[in-house]
Amino acid sequence: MNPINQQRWQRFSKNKMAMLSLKIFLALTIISLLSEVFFNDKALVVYYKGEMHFPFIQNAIPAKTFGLENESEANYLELQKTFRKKPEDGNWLMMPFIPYHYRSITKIDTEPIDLQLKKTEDFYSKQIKELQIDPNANKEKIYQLKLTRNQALGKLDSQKYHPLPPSLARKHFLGTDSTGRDILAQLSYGYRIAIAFAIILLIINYIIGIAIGCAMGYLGSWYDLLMQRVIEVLSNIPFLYIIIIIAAILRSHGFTMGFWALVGIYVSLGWMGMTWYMRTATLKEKSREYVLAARAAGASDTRIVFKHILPNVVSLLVTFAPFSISGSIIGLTSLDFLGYGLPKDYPSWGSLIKLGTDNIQAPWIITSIVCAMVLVLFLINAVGEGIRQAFDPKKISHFE
Amino acid sequence: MLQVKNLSTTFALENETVCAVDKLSFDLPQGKTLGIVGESGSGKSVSALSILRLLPRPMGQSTGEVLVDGKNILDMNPEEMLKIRGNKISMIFQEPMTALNPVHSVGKQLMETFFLHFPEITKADAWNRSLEMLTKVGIPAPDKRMHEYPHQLSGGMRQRVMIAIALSCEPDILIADEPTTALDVTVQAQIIQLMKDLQKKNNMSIIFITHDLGVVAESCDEVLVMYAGRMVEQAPVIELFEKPSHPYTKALMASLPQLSQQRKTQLQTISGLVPSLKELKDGCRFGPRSGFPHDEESLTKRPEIQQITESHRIEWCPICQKALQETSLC
Amino acid sequence: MKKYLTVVGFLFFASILTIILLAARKNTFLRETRENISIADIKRPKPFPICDEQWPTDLVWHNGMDQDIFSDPKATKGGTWNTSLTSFPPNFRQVGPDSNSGFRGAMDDNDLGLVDVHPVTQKLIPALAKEWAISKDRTIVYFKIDPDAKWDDGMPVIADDFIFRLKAMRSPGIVAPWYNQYYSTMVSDILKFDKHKIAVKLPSPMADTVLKAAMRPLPYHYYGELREIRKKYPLSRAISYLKRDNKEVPPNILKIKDEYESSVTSAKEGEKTPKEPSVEITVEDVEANWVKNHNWKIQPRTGPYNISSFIKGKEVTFERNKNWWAKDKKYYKNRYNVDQIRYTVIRDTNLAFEKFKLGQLDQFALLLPNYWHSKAKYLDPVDRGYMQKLWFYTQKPEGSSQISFNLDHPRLKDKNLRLGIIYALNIQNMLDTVLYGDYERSETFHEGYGEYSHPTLKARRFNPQKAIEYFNKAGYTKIARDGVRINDKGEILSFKILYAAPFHTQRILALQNEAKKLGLHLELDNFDTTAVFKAMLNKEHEIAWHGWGAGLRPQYRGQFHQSFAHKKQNNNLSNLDDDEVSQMIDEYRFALDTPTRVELAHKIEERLFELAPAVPTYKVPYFRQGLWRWVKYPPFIATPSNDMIMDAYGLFWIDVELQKEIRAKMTKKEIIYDIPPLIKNTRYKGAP
Ligand SMILES: Nc1ncnc2c1ncn2[C@@H]1O[C@H](COP(=O)(O)OP(=O)(O)OP(=O)(O)O)[C@@H](O)[C@H]1O
Ligand SMILES: [Mg+2]
Repeated sequence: MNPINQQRWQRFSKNKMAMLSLKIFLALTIISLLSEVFFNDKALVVYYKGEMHFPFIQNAIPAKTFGLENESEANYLELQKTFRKKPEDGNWLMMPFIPYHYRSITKIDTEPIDLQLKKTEDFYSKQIKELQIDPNANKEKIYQLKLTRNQALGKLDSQKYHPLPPSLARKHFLGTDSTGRDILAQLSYGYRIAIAFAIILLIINYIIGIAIGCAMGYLGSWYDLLMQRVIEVLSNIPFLYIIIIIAAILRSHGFTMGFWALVGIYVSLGWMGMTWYMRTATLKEKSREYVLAARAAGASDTRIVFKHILPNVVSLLVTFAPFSISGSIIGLTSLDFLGYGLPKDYPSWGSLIKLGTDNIQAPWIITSIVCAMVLVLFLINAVGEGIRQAFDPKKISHFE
Repeated sequence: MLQVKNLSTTFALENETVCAVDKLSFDLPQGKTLGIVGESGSGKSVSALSILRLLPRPMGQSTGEVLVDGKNILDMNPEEMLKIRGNKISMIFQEPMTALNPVHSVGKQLMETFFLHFPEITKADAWNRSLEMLTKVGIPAPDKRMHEYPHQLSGGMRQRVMIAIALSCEPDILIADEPTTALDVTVQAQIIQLMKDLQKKNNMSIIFITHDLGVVAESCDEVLVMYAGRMVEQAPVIELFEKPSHPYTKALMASLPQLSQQRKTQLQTISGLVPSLKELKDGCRFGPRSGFPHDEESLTKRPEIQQITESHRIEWCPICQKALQETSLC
Repeated sequence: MKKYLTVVGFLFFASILTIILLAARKNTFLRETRENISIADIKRPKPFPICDEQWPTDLVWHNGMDQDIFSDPKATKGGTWNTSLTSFPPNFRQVGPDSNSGFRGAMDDNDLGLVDVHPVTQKLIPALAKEWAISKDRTIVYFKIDPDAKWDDGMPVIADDFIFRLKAMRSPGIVAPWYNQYYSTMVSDILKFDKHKIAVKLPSPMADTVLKAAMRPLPYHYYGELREIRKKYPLSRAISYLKRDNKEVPPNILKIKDEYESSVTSAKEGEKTPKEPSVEITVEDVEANWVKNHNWKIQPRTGPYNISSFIKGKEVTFERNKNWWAKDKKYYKNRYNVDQIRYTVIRDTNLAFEKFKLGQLDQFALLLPNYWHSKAKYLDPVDRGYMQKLWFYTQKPEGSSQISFNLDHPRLKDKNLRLGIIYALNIQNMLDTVLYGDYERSETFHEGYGEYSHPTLKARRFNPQKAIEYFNKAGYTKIARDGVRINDKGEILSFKILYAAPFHTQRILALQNEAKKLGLHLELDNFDTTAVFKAMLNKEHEIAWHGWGAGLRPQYRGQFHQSFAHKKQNNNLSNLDDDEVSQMIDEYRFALDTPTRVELAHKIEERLFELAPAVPTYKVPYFRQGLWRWVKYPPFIATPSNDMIMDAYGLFWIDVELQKEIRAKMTKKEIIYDIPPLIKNTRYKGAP
């Protein structure tokens, strides 16, 4: 490794905050990449009649394979219950840490709650009846009683419906959303999509930004002027309208706004960001003597740009990367929040925020997503800050 | 070998064009060294860059002829140009600190020239030859240095690396633009000796650009004095030092410290400033600083080049000439 | 180059500046009030001629005075009703471009027709007409206009206002092709016998004759005389317009017609039929630039309220006409009690809900289950006795929510596949979980239409066995990775379901989850609401999740008639192209007597059930509201036709004293000890 980079890495690793952030970030990312292992409604391992099955990586296994009645895919939580009822058969299965996929909807068993509702109702009405013998004297008491009754009933009743608050027993560690999906599972899958989106966007934007930005800085003249105008025009296009229009056009040709279409739109309107920096950096580097030396040695223009100038501005690219990633995550999230982003059945942080704000009475939704969002953005920015400091040229050589 | 004929270089500035080199002509025979001297801003570097067509585009434009083996460099297409640079004509730059790419190791930068001009060469071969070059330019422990980065080297060493790079393809012509200015005196001497040695080995021609007349005296065969973009005088080195003819050359000589001079005597300096390119007129350019009154005509009409001896050329206006002859009479 | 750039840059900034200035101008909130013109200043236009026909003497006259009144005599006048709009109306016109906004209803409610419908018995009651009679052949309806009827500028409502409406609605200047068409084909003429006697001629005998003829007037004195203009129309349309206006077809047009017809008949097979030529004819038209001139004008109305002032982009205030001509009439007494109705623009529903909780809005619709069961479950004002929640089951034609399959889709053509999908949709589960068991399953496409609704037909319920059976029949026998079915051609059992409202996502997710277990993948496809509607009308969907509004009688033509199949921009979202259905729909359309129509309606529903081009989903046969307690209503709460407490019937009132009292208590956080009961009125529940 280049000693400068070695130095940078040393400096970065000395930055405790950045290092810790990087570790947590990587851990989170790995967990989310392995979401299917941690958050899934398919069992990891099923042992049935002497045979091992691995449903989470296998094709859908029909329920009848495991001795259940129906033909569709097995419901492994149910299967687990049936296995447990008959331990003597020796069948067993292992569910993931959280037995919910982001799209699995939990059914609530309402019977016991109904029973409790009735009990509570009876309990209060008896008391109220007694008090109502003298309604005027007891009006405050009756009021209080009615109020507590209503609230008790309401609290019970709300347990019959999603969203449900966090509960260890139900294994919904962060509760459910209003459809009945596990929030933690959604966070994990949603994070995976967001980070994949951000990184893909980063790579494509960098490729375009480098190619065009370097060309602008290096070639200069009319090409530079032309691209500057193009970029100015593009950056003034209202993003949301374009998204709506493009989606409408896509639809009229039979496509829906999918992940890649979104990436395409983001790229087509977002490649300019890096271009400016690359242009300035190239302009600066171009006038350095080593470029002249390389030319004098017979290096061609492309070679100069890619072999000589680019490695010198790589620090710029690296320092910008984390901030670009967090920017993309915010962008995708806000687009999803507004409803113009990914298809609605994708796990997405934006739609979770929307759900959270729409169901403010279920604070665990908004709290979870906001905390997750803040945490991830904080981590990325801490790493970014660490990188920036490690790359800071002021620190490479300084006078004691 | 290398013939430069009427080379002019202009820069298109915001709203005017300036002429940094004005009808420069000289010949450089094989195996010889031509020194170009002149004050700062007289157009030495621009001339050198023009020869290799390394001027910043699109502002810099050259006209005239630069003939290498009879072919005009200025007419070549970019691909042919790539083959000339580094291979036929190499260049060493003034500032060894910045002329090496900070992000690549010494070895990588040395090898690059081989890859550029011998596309078939294997990596191992390139490595070995680079190592050889480093040894040639006298860098101790070259195999260790190959892995190092420019900032880990001293200035002298960097300049040696530069020279190694420049000479790696055994060019016929080397243009050295003030290769020693940034170095201290002992290192300077070493580098110059090195260049001389290598010149002898490869029978290479050198254009040596410098301010330092002392250096010129010990390393060049011929000297060309430039002033404000023009050649003012060209002569074999001994002739020039013994018989400087042009008032500017004289003034330049006078500013050189002589061993014979007493320590306390002040060095003579040339009064006034080098004229800015924008305010140049076509006539005698040294006129206003020469101390002799010039009339309007001599300041606007370009003086002619006079061949004093076979190898001694001089461009001076009648007034300078006359004034000089008068002073030399006294 | 530099000069050029400077110019371009300058132009760029100049245009941006203008846009900003224009936007700023548009956003200066200025209250504009309706101008008052005294009757004396009103210029009376030239009256329309009296017709040649004789006023028949052998008619049987009805006056509808035998129905019960449906208002509460205890109602008191006064107070302001504050409510919200999600967006400001783009104009105040009732026809023309962009006139069909959500605000239209608020204006339409204040334009009376000739007759009205009793909200409980559905019988006719008088409005602008005092009496009416039907001709024997059921093509003409005679009306005697109530001599008391007045516009709110004081001018009497006369026969000319009805004729003017017909002419105006037929004129090109209103830029409303649908209205042009409707008034050219559904009403053939209006005859004026004297100031208060008119007859409305229908093109053919129709069911519900009186209602079809019961037009609304347009103030002739306000809009002024019509002018004649020359206008180009396609040949056939031009001729039909000339006939409509009782004009002779000029010989030059006849000549063009002959030429065109002969060229059509002589055109060889396979050749393109020649394009229909256009001809210029003279038609009557409203004033030039009518659309632009009337964007923000407030026309006189015959109803109890009219716009009194507005702030563009922010609010519109309606004021009660204190001298309303009908205020003491039998069916109009004790109605329309509040003095002012103020619509404020609040774009965000959550914000509106917050404002309601603060008492800035008098009511809030709690129709959505998550509001009723969750957000509005504990409302502090309710617990303190300031506010009340109301759940009222109604009995009126239901809007139809359904899932339509695009039969032009190569795979959805297959009925087995459609049936498989229908059986795989666990709608009941969706209703029970996401919708808290509140909404009800729709059995047919038209519910709540009384006898017209099919009494016994039941929609197909979720049935895994049958779903799998039909999927197998359709060739989707194998299960691929991820549990989705696949056929021999490798096509996976996955369809896009297009829907407009973002808050329906949860509902469809619930369906998706259940269907997934049977190997059917439903891909959710949702976007900007207008874009989705456009896509649906253009039949760009595979499966559409949508709903239609309710009408007076079941409407089948637009949605299921074959003449709309395979064409863009119409309501036949399934592209259903079935001869039998279309024939029955045509019969139904022109049938006169109710029993035949009812029978046809039932038969059509049965045939639709068999064909399964769509499946009805749910209905919401009630309204739910939160109300501040100063909002008072009759003891029977509302009529079965009410949309809400506050609607066209205006039966509620505001107890101004109580309002003051509650507001005073609110500031002191004092409790009113009787907690208002949560009213759930099911009087009209369960009836067809
Ligand atoms: N890119 C450029 N654009 C405009 N003018 C230039 C450019 N490069 C050089 N010049 C001008 O050309 C003239 C000659 O410059 P040059 O660098 O050749 O001087 P020099 O003799 O090498 O001086 P030094 O001894 O300081 O290196 C100077 O006046 C300089 O201002
Ligand atoms: Mg120089």
